[in-house]
Amino acid sequence: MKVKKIMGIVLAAVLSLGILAGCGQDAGGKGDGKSGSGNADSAKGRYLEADIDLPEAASVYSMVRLEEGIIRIAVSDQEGRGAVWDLQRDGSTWEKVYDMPEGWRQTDTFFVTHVSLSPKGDAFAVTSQSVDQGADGDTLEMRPTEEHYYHLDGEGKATEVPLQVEGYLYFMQYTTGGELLVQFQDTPVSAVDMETGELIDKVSGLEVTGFFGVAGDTLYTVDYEGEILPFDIDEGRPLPKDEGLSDPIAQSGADMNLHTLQARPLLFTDGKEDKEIFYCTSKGLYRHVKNGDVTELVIDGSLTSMGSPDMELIDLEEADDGGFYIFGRDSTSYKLLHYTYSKDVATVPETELKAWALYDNSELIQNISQYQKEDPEVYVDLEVGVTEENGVTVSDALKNLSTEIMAGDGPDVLMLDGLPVDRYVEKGLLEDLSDVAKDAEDLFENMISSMEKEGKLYGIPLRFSMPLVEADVQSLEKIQDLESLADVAEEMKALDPDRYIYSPYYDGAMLAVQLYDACSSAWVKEDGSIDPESLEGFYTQLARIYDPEGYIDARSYAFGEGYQKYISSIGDGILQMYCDKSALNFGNIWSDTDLAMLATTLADKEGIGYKPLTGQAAHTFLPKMMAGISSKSKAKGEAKKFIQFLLTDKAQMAAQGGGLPMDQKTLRSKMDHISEGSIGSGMADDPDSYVEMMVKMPSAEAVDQFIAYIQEADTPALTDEIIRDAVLSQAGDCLDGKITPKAAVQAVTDKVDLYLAE
Amino acid sequence: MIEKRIGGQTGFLFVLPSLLGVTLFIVVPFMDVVRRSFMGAVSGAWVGLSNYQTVFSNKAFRLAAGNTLRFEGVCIPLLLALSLAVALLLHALEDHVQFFKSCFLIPMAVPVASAVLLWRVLFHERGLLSGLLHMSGLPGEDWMGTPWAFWILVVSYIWKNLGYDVILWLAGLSGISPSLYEAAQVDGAGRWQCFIYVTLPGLLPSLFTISVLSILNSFKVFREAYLAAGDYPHESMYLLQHLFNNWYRDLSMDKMAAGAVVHAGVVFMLVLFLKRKWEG
Repeated sequence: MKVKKIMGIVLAAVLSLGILAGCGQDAGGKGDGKSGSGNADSAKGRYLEADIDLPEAASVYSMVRLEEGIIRIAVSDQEGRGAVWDLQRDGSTWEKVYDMPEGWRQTDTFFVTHVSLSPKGDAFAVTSQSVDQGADGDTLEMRPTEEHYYHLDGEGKATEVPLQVEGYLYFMQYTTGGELLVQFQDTPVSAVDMETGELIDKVSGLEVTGFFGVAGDTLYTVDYEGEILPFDIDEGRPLPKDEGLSDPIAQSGADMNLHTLQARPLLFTDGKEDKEIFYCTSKGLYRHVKNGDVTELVIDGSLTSMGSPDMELIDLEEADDGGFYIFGRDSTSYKLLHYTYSKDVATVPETELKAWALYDNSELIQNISQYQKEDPEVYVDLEVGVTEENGVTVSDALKNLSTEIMAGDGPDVLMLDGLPVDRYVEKGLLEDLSDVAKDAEDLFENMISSMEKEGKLYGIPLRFSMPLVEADVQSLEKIQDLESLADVAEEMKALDPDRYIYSPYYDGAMLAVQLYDACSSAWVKEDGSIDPESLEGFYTQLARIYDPEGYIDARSYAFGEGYQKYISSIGDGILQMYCDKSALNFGNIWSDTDLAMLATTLADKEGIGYKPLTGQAAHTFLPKMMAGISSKSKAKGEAKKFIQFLLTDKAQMAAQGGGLPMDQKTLRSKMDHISEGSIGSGMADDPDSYVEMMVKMPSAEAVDQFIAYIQEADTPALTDEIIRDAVLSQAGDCLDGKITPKAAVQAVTDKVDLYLAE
Repeated sequence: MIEKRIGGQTGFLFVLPSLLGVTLFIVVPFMDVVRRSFMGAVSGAWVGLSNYQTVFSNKAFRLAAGNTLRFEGVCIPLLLALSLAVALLLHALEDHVQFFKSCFLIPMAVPVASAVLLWRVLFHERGLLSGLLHMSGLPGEDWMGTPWAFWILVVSYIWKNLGYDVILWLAGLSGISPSLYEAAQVDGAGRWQCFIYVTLPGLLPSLFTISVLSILNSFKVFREAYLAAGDYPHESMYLLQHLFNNWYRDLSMDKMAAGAVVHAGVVFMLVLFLKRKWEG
């Protein structure tokens, strides 16, 4: 009896523990929960992505699969001459089919807007011709233009189509049967009669829509809310809504709003089987049987370039080999991607690397996509702490991270921006990455070595930004620190009281954001505490620079990470300086375009110059995208390989406005590839506020000068979010005169001292 | 003898599920916290008493512990006295007792988020309180950013917990036999003497329970403080929970574990002291 009781108690305890243990398992079901581990029994078979080299071209308009299975593209070459090329059966070489008419070569007043290719071999082109020179200084885009429409036969002979339509052409695509469908501004999708130029209402029940796609005999329209409606092209009637198709697309979270004349967020193509269609979004490529309940994921977008945030999808075709072609464009070039099925590759990559970032980071997502493409056996699972969707606070996100780390389920790679790096170093959470930095040859050594702590490098900044000041050369010479900057601002105000001194859109708090990185490193004493005198100096000098009369209360802002980057940028102020709307400009340089704008200003405006801004500290820079490796990672080797990849030229070329590359060679290379063109900015409700410049490629001397400035930067700005938040939150009231600089400093030190004491 | 043994076993079996729950979810995790208080946060290496030394020399810990003690020292006696006064008043009432009891319990039903919103509306620089002062010609203030923040916290705690303590006191009052009052009155005792010599001794057993529950409830005031003022409120209302919260955020599990052990030890000693004092 007693034995039975004991057995009963033991069994109950085992059962309880079993249930509790079960609670600890990953409910997400993704992988086996072990990072960096392999699974010998995993399922095999996956589509792999490969780039197909395109013929040398400045731009590519479109792609189509001809009826005989050949992939054809329409391009514009380096001289601006259009041509059509076919991909040969070997899958890598191209043969030119024909050149477009000689008169179509791009000039200052003429260019080919778009070319759509038919599966039957013909094509439809839209050209744009400026009707007069416009006003002085107008760019081609600004001059009045008229569009002409041409039909090109299989040999490239062009015949003008007398289309008489008002409004912009939104989108056009050939059907499988070789009929051209077009959509103009404020008109529903119509077919085009190539002889008369008439628009034919091919399908009844159509309304004005966002964009459309064609798969076999079905036309899919996608409205501005992402609703997908099918229409039978042959019978010209609407079809019942295919919920098995539209619901999964709506639930996938793919953004359906961004589309251009060329690119769309959702592409369709018909499959070889009856009623079979394929579609792709940034989430991946899917198979669907019309009116069926099921949609099957064929290619996971997160494992390929489809999921890269800079990828714009243009055309999708099924290949003869059972694979797929996707034609698209990323931030650097046009891409023809070929997806082929490999039965030997694991369906889900066997090695999982966990990465964690506090904020969304487009460059990182792009880099992950590139890395997974290079090594299909690795899956990088990026977790973002604070997103627009999850509404989590920074503090809660960090607590979630702490929980994961302490539970042994933490990330392998940590993006350290916004994280308490010093505390992590103190706890021994971060690995020394000195060897990774040494292996990368062209990093800015001055910045990297300034990040070292006691000879060890716990985080490598993959990108950076730098505070600069722009003014007339005489004033520029006078500006040696924050105080002299304030002197110059006061002098300018006294000389011309009606003129804006700096960008008129910045209030006091924004001004503090602009000057924060040039000053913050001076506020921390050797013992780590805040130097109240130095901080008081910051508020005092800002109050001298600040011009409450000049501030136009026109922009809403918050101190979120994304807004700070936007506010601190020197870019908008460069346009104001260029158009003589302000006399002084300062802020951080975030992109190669900013440098090109500065160089253009220097070339076009005599007497204007720029230099690194010495605020309360000299040679400052703001480290961004700091990558670290967790000492608790079970895949340190794989994590190091990933960070090494992030420092390669390919990864560093990624450009989403998140800072300049830390790799010197890549920075130079980016400067060589700046696209010249018009950049403008202004307030929608104030036409007079519009400013514009034609950006030119910076000269070699300008690039050398800038690189020389960067090579002097050896003082990282404070990246601690709590100190930044404490300082900036007092700036508005202080500069508006509601509190004195002393009171502002007291409020900051009350909070920060507590934080530092913890 | 056999009956007594069976009775004992039955009692144990009744307590067993709760005991298992407490063991698994409180005792075992707390033992793990004790273990971690002697180890490094990430490395897990044995560090002896070093975490305790760090905690006691930590300025933020001393401030938070001081504020927490001050808060307990002000709130608990105030709450006990006020709730007893209200309970006595309600006990003496003949009509509408249930209505008033419900009224006093309403704050407990108010969601924390709503209470926090009320705080903000009342105590913001441009809130109702500042508005009222402004109408009287006095300047407004961001009350949560001044030493008044501590007193806002005290009032909030009392507002929220008064009804609960009143109900407990009323339960204690109903347990005192009316015959004791009658006997005292026959002996010539007045109202005050009845209170001193009958009511108070009769409430002494309840005092222990109400005090312990009030102390434990007082730690919950952190929710309002955190939601209203975030990680770093005015230093007068920076409590131990703020510090533990921030340590957890920064992965300072070592300091947090040592601090939690010290905190639990102090509360445990306090409870034992109260038990000994009021239950004999």
